Order: sequence, then structure tokens, then C-alpha cells
Amino acid sequence: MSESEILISAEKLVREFGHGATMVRALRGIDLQIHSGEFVALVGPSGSGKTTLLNQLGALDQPSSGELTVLGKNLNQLNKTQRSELRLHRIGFVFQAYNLVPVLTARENVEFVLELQGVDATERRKRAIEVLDELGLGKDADRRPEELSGGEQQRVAVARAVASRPKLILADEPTANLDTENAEALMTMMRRLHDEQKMTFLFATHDPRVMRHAERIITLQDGSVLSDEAKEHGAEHHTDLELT
Amino acid sequence: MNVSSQYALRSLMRSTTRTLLSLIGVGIGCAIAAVAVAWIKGESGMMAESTAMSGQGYLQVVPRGWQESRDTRLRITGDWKKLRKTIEGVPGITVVTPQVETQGLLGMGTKVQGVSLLGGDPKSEREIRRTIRAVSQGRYLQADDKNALVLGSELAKRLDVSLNDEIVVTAVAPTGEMNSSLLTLVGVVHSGSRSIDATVAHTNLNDAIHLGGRPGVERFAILVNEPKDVGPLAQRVERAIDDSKIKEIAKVDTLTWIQVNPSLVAAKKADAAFSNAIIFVIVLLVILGITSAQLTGVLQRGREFSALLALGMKRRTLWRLIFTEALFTGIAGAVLATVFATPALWYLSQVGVDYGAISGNESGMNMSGILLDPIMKADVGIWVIPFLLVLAIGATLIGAIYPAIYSLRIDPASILRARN
Repeated sequence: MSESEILISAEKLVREFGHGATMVRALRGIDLQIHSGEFVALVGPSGSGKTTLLNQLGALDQPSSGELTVLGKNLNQLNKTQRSELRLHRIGFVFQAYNLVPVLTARENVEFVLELQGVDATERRKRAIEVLDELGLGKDADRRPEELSGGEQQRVAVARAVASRPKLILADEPTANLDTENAEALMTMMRRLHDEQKMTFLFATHDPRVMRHAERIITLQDGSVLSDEAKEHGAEHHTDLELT
Repeated sequence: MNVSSQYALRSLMRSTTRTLLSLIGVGIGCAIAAVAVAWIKGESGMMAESTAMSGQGYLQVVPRGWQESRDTRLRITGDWKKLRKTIEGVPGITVVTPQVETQGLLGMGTKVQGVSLLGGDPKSEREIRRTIRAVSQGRYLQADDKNALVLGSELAKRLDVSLNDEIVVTAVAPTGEMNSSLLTLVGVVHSGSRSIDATVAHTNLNDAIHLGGRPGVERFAILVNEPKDVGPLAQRVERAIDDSKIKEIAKVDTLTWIQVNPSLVAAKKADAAFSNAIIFVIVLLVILGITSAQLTGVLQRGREFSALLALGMKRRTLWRLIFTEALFTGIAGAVLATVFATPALWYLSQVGVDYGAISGNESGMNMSGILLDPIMKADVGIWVIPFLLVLAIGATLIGAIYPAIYSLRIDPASILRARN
């Protein structure tokens, strides 16, 4: 684990849903630190709390208790607007189902987030084309999501996430809907962004293809951290959880 | 156009059937409202004109106290001729005619009819009174006529009189004594309304004053250039009268046709209120239709919106998106409303509806002694365009309020969790 800046710090993080007898404890006191420039996989079986934790770390949800600091901000002290600001300017999201706006082209999907950030029209267009070119989508810039393959759509989603050069990229099962070739290509591309631009990546996944690329694997089970292992890049990681 | 606006515009095209149905709803609703308003305006304008041209004028100068008491015995005494010239000198005034009405009896042989004998200035009276323009026999009164009488065709028929017959006219003087004169029938007029033709009995002003036994005139009926400006014009007339300081003139009031005919205006207001209620219901239906369509759009795009919220889009941006879609719908709806309304407005403003043909009375309809034009027309002007724009955009924006509020329920975290 590097000694660099701490981007995420969670202490005794708890998230409960429902009340009384129907209450579900999705996170049971998570302690976690993610440093700047890490490439981390968050693994575990379905229902282990991966997405719930990702929602917490991405300032999409409020913890029931515990302390959570992301990018130097104590999320417990931020209101909804401040959390939106944090996500908009400093966190990039990649979703399992891509979630591109279907009526906008690839370029417009990327531009839209830059427009939300207040980037002026000329600059956002330039940056959108640049990042799409970077990810090998230059020729597809004016195509709509329905005209793109799943792999291409996910690359557009990545372009949208990284266009504003955020410090932190959170990805929720980014390869779940992709075949092996596209999944591998996507991970290689994200790895390259990480290496070249020093972005911090955190993936919630149970896909071995993602884990293979991770430098650190945090395993969750029943809302708790089961293990937290650092590994050399490229080293194979095998756990029983891969097979779930 | 920025990406947000393109997003809003293209989102409308996503479900073309729904958008088209929404637009048709907005178009038809707003078109009906525009036609209804044009009709009410036309009716209002026609009523004002009909009232004025039935001899009452757009303005009246009456003795003070008449408005409250409606006492027909009150007179404007003193130098009323100078007063007339003063009023005529006010810019915007086109016709000023003095009038006197005397209740009396017309007798011919064994036949008698009670009438309200009107004395006036023949020249200006013809300008201000549409009901006497069609002379079916003889002629109308002339300025130098003495003891001459013009009757409505129905009244002449009931009295069984012919031109040059001498008719006994009897009125009661203020002293209670009977005043009688022999007036010669010089003409018969035909307004087209049997009930009005049964009441027309005109003589020259001096003869009417003599018969009534009261000096002075009962009122001045006034026509104006701009009927819509009668309020300010009435004030200008009052100021001109005050400034003239004509001696011996009793105090007078200047009233608009609305003040002279409160019951007529009340009937018109009731009519307009009914029409407005219908317009309100139509607009409400348009709003509900838009609310339903927009809400469906928001519900269908819950996942899309939740993803954008997750990316950092603020709620107010989502609201702006929803209202931008409503704005586009409103603008397109206004265009469609213009297309729908144009043929109807053209027909109603150019051809109109012939109530005379419907009622069988082709020349006019009598309403409280006022001869209404049987062909009613809508009042259409450039106002229709901003009206449709404001109505359509206003309705669609109001219709988008609930979907916008509903969008607050979209929780990016829970929706993404559920969908993944």
C-alpha cells in the first residue's frame, strides 16, 4: 500500500436499511483507507455489501453511523448539493449497465457532464473529442449508444467518467455485461488511464478478469471486510469468492 | 443549442406518439380557449357598439342624480346649447345629440298607444340611432320640422295610420295638467325588430320639450372615436364642462355606456363568467394532460435520471430539463393551436354567426331596447398570437410542476442498486 495521500477513509462505517424486525444491516462497521493512485477491486459475493459501500464512497448515500471522508471531505457534514458538487467535479462513475443518455451521441454524452461542470462550449467539445480519441472512439463520436456495441458503450461511459480528470473513479461491475475480449480491453484501457494519469480506481466486482488487473483486493462478506490484500500488478488472485 | 437543450428536445422525440398526443391536446385546448376569448371580445365590442348606436351613445352627460335615481323628469337646464358645443370641442368626441323623452299617449281615431316620445336633433339623432336609418315610408325628421312625427312600422300599424295623418299626442306636464298636440306623421321607420318598431315615436326636440312641459334637455348622447377609451374620455368631458363655467347649467355627470346600462353589463359579465369557466376547465384538462405525459416521461427515465444525478447533476438541473421539455411542448403546442384556431377565427371574424337566421328575425334582436346586430362576429387581432403562446407555455409549465416535484423522489443510490 502506498504512503501517498489518503483519498478515502472509512471508520466503523455502518449502513442499515429498514426498521425493527425488517432491518437489514448492509455494512457492519467497515474500516478502510484508499490512497491516491491505487487500483483497487472490491470483491465479494452478491449481497456482501459491495454496491452499498460503493454508494457510500461515491457520496450517493449517507451512512447510518461511522465516519467517512472522501477527497478530504467529511461526507457526514455535506448536504445533498455539496455531495452533488463533489461527485460532479472530483469523482467519476462507471456503471454496470453503462447508463448513457440514449438520445445523445457519444460526444454529447461526454460533453453533457462537462456542461454540468460549467465548462464552456468550445472547451468541452474539444475535451470530449480528445478523450474519445484517447479511448479509440474518435470515429464513433457522433453515433448514439444504440448504434454502439456493449464494449463501445462502456468505453464511452469511461470517457464520460474521466473527461474532467477526476481524482477518483468508482466503477460498479463495469465488465459484467461484456464478453471476455471487451472486458479485457476495458480493463487494459482503465489500467492505462491509471498509469498515465494517476487516477485512483475502485471497482466493485466479482469478475476475475477485473481482479487480475487490481493492485489491491478488498474482500467483503456480510457487510464486513473479510480480507484486504495488496498484490503485484499482473499477479493472479484466486479466492473461493471468484467462483460465486 | 447546448447539450441540455438538445437532450430535452430529443427526449420529446423519444416517444413520438405521446408527444404528438400531448401537442394535439395543447393545440386543441388552447385553440378552443382562443376562439372563446375572441368570441367574448367580439360580443363585448358588438354590445358596446349596439348600445351606442341604439341612441344611447358611448357616453352620456346627464343631470346630477340621474345615475342613482334614474328619474326621467330630471333635466339639464340653462344654456344647454353652449354645453353641447363645449362637449363637441373635446378631442375624440364625434357626435353630441341632445335628447328628451316624454311618456305619452298617441291617439288616432279609436286607437291609442302608450309611447315614450323621443325628441332630438334630427341630424345627429340619425347618426347615433341605427334603428331609424331604414325609412320605409316618407322621410325622417328635419331640423325645421314643427309638429312632425316619425313612428316605427309596428306602432304605425297598430295605430293604423298613414303618412300625413294627424295624430293626437298627449303628455302629462309637471303640474299634472295634460298637454296635447296634433303631430303630423311624416315618416315610418323599420328597424327589423318588431318590438323596437313598436316603441319608436320621434319628434323634434322643441316639440318634445313643449309636450313634456319641462325646460331643458334630459341628456346628451355622445359618440366617440375610440370606444375602448370611454373611461378617460369621460373624465376629459367632465373637465371641459367644469372649465367652461357655463352659467345657469345645473350640475351634470358624464357616464359611460357601462354606467348607463348596469343590467346589460351584468348580463354580459355573467355570460363572460360562464365562458371563462369553460376556458378554465379546458385549460385545466390541458394541464392535467401535460402532467400525465410528463410524469410518464419522468417515470420512464428514472434510471437515466438517477445515473445523471449520480454523476453529479443537481436537482435544479433536472428540473430545468423537465421545464425545458415543457417549454418546447408549449411552443410547439402554441404553433399547433394557431393552426387549429386560424380557420375557426377567420370564419367567426369574417362571416360570423347569424342569430337572426336562427331566431327568424333577420334584421336584429332586441335586448333591453337595444337593437343587436343579428350577425355576431369574433374580435380577432394580433393579440391572438401572444395569447396562444402565453396560454400554451403557461399550461405546459404548470403541468410540469408535479412531475418536477415527483423527480425529487428519484434516489440515484437505491435505483442503481436495484437495477444492477
